[in-house]
Amino acid sequence: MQYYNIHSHVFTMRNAPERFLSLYMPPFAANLIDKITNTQAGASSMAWLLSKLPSNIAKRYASFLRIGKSSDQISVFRTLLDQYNDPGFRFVGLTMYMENTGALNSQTGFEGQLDGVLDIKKQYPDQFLIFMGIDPRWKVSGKELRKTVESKFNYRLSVTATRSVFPFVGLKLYPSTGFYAFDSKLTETFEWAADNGVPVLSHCNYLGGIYNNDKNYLRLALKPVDPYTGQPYNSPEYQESFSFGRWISGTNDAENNKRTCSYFLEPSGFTSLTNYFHSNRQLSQDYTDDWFLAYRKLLGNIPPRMRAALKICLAHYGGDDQILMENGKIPTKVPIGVNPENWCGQIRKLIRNYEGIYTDISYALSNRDTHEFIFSDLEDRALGDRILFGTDFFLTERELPEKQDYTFFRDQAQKLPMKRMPGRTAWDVIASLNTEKFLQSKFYDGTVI
Amino acid sequence: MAISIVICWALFAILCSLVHEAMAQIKAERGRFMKYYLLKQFQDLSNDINWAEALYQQGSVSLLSRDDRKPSNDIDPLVFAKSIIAAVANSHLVNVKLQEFGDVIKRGEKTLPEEVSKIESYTAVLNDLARFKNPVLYKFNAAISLLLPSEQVSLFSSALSNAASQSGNANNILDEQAIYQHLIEHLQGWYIELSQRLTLWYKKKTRVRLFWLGAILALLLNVDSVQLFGLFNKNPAQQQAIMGFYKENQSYLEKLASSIDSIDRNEQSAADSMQQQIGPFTGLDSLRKVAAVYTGKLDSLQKATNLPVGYQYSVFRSEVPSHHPMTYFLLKLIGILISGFAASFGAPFWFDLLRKAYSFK
Repeated sequence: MQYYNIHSHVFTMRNAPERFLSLYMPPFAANLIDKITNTQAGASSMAWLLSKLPSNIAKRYASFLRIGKSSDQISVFRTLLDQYNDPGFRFVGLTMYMENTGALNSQTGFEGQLDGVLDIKKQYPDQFLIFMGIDPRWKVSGKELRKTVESKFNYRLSVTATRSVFPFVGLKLYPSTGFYAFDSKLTETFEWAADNGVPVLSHCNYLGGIYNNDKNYLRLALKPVDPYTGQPYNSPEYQESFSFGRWISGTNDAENNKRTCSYFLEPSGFTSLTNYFHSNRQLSQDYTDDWFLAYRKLLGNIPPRMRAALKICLAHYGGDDQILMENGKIPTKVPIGVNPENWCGQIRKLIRNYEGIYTDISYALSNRDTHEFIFSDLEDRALGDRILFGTDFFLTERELPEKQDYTFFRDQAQKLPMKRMPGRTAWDVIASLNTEKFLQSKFYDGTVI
Repeated sequence: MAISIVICWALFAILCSLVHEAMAQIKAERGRFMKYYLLKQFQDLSNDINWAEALYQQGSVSLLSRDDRKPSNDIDPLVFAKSIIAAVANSHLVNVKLQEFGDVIKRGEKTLPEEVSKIESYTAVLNDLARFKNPVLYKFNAAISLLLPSEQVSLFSSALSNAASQSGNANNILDEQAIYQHLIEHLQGWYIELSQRLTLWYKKKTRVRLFWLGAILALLLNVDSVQLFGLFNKNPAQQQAIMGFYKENQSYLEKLASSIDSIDRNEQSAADSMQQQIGPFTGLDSLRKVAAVYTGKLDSLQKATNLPVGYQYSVFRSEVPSHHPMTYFLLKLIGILISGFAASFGAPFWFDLLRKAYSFK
């Protein structure tokens, strides 16, 4: 069987916004750490210092910084490969558009990041599967965005003199950087993705990950019109709060911005979009794609019911805390968002109601308390086929080394035979069968095309 | 008396430059400074890519340094020119666009009528590009034609069009080898010009740093120009001793000062020739040896002149006079700042001044 990690990152700090670290820590500390670790002497001293501290968190941050400050993306990917003792394992590398996060531009530019992952693909064509980050602010119109995506997906990357492959197999969204998944500029691209079976993976971790750190932008972007319902999306409000401690450390605005960005991420925000792709959507007319035209010639007008739903994976299962709250393991708190329900619960509902919705357990699996609930959901007939294995390397290095994270979960899952699928283990289902079904498209059919 | 104080400033400037050079080598500062500016100059916001980043990923450049955090500051202009052409030509961004054009034309027969004009324009672009047979030139030209306009694309474009006009074309056939050569020469010329500017920018930055470093060292080692001025004024023997030291070591000191300065100016040949005379100068170990010899000489000078310079005379270790302590601190501050200012001028400036003063005498 072919096993996959559906959620890993290989970007370096050069692909990230210039003030990336200030999204995670007070600006003065971020600046200092960035400056120190830019030199070899500084980086070595910092690593030594952190390794001597008794706290495990410091060590984990040192590892996170070491990987993030790698010279290029291929070095990060090799670090990831070194953690796995299975040479056939496949990794989905998620590229991310991070040029509009209110933390300045990246050094390489987004195209530079894509160039870097294509270099990895050239060297590891079968092991490395790339999801292309998209953002409605990347291109001036929805049409241009779709055209760009289409041409990059159709690009044949020469791997050897006799072999070329499709470099991209999926799309990646990061709404907390400041947009809604229902943004009208994404619709054409999603239509193209649905028609070609291309999967979309969206970040969906409550109060976790990268967010937009521009208060003025957020105030303007919070209440758009939902193009799928035609109604104004009026409920979101900027989360203004004050804490003296945060004010002293200069992180008050950042915390407010992070909390406000929950509106962009919350699973309910995907409902109108999912409805549209689940119902009798009309096919977009201006397809010029070879594969699609052949398909249309063969079948004539495709009856609406035959159209595939858009496959969207709402990653992280909402976050480890949300999983534990949903299962009554820790006290419940009402999340920030239009829908006051728990995010893990919202994702479960979406999965039960719509055929194209998936989730992954990345990052959440570093909290081992979540494992029992993940395993029990795998036995659920509705949920069990749509939960995918991923780790969120290297962002999860702040919690647990990748090797421990992966090995511990795999060993547990391999010991667990599936009651509803005799002969299969939980590992087979989550890391192979479900993921392969999610990935299959015109650009990937279980083998690299 | 003035000559004695100038000698002191020159000696102090050498010391500050040696400390600064050690810091610069530990931090691989010149290479990082160069990379920083190349990344800044080649950040193509229109096309969302940084060409310098792609340049540093080219084997011929990346293999020049053993660590990413210690980039080389010695990229040969020819290596630069060849690598930047390769970086642009081989970028996936350009290749995706080229293939997209080809795909649209290939699909021509299946395309809707309203797309015919698009196909015609795409065909015209590809036909225009096809005048280059050399794959590198073909793709470099494609980048210029297919990417969005930006300062960087305009630099590449002007380099290529100058190269094409310089090489001429006989019977409508392009001499691609000549074009490539001229293209390289043009980019080399641009790079040499940028390097010269970088040297100036680096010197400016160094001057500011030398001021602060000089002020800190003056504070720690009590290099108080006001105090020294007073001492030389009162004690001609100390003046004579310091001038004697200078005469005795003039050649060594001037060579040492020039070699530090030539490193700052990135003049390898000048630095090399100096190094043959005063010892090797590249690398931290060799710098340490040079510094050890130099500080040894300064120690012996301090013993001979009995000047109150050194850590034992530092403001942190000496007693503050009970009369007018504010005046003491104010004069100390002025003396230290003057010393920092003197260090920021660099040793060659003071040695030049000394040469002129002696020739006038």
